[in-house]
Amino acid sequence: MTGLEISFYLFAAGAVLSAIGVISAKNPIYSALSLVVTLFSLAGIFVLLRADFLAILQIFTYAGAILVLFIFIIMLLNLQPDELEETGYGLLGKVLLGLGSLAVFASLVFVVSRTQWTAATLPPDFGSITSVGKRMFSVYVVPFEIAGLLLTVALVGAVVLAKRRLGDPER
Amino acid sequence: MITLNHYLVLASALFIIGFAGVVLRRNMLIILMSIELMLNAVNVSLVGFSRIYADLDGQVSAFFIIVLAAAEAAVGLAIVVLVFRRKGSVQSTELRELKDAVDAP
Repeated sequence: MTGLEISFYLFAAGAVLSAIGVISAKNPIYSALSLVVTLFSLAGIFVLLRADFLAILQIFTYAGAILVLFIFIIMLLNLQPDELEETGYGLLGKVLLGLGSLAVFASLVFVVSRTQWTAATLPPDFGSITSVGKRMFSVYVVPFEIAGLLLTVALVGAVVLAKRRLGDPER
Repeated sequence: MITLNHYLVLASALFIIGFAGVVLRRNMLIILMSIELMLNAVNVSLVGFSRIYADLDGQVSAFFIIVLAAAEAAVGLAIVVLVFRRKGSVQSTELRELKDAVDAP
């Protein structure tokens, strides 16, 4: 096995196992901590795919900002153990939904394994901040500005939704 | 030899795990995290195709998906806080005002 294969299987196993941890943990704080492991493993996968800038961005934005937001909210809500009890499907429903998900996964793997791709040769600065930035500010400058607008709207929307109105404890 | 197929299988696995989290769990915080998992799975396949075709468009698209995930997490968590204030719970089964429309006039 080459170093590339070892690191791929290491990161892939870490991502998949911790992703299973995200959806199976009872307490959301354990889900959030598992999600951190998933996101860091995916940052490693991005490095293997020559997307260095995106890997850094993944750690900054996901692990640094989004996960901190999640953990803040979980601590703010301060859920008690009896509030974590879930009234969901019975065992039969869970098994059926799990089998259905596995069937979709099997068909995806089948489709993927039917096709072969040949890798193009990469320029030496592929995936660097300079090359991605040049593409982002030339071809994609209008979507980039719209993304900034989207973030502003989300910021204002989150504040307006979550703030308490004066003299109205219900809101 | 690691080919694109390996990365696509990894992306499919993560997407399906996220999907299973959305349909199986009732805790809205965990449902939001499962949505993040699905968005990340899409990112892996986008970056994989970007690597195969030596084209940076895939990486720029993945960047926009990260921006979208940040916006979605902010608004989604604000909604979870609101629901918790109204209902005292973060279970999605608590939200059923639109169910049982039989009683409506």
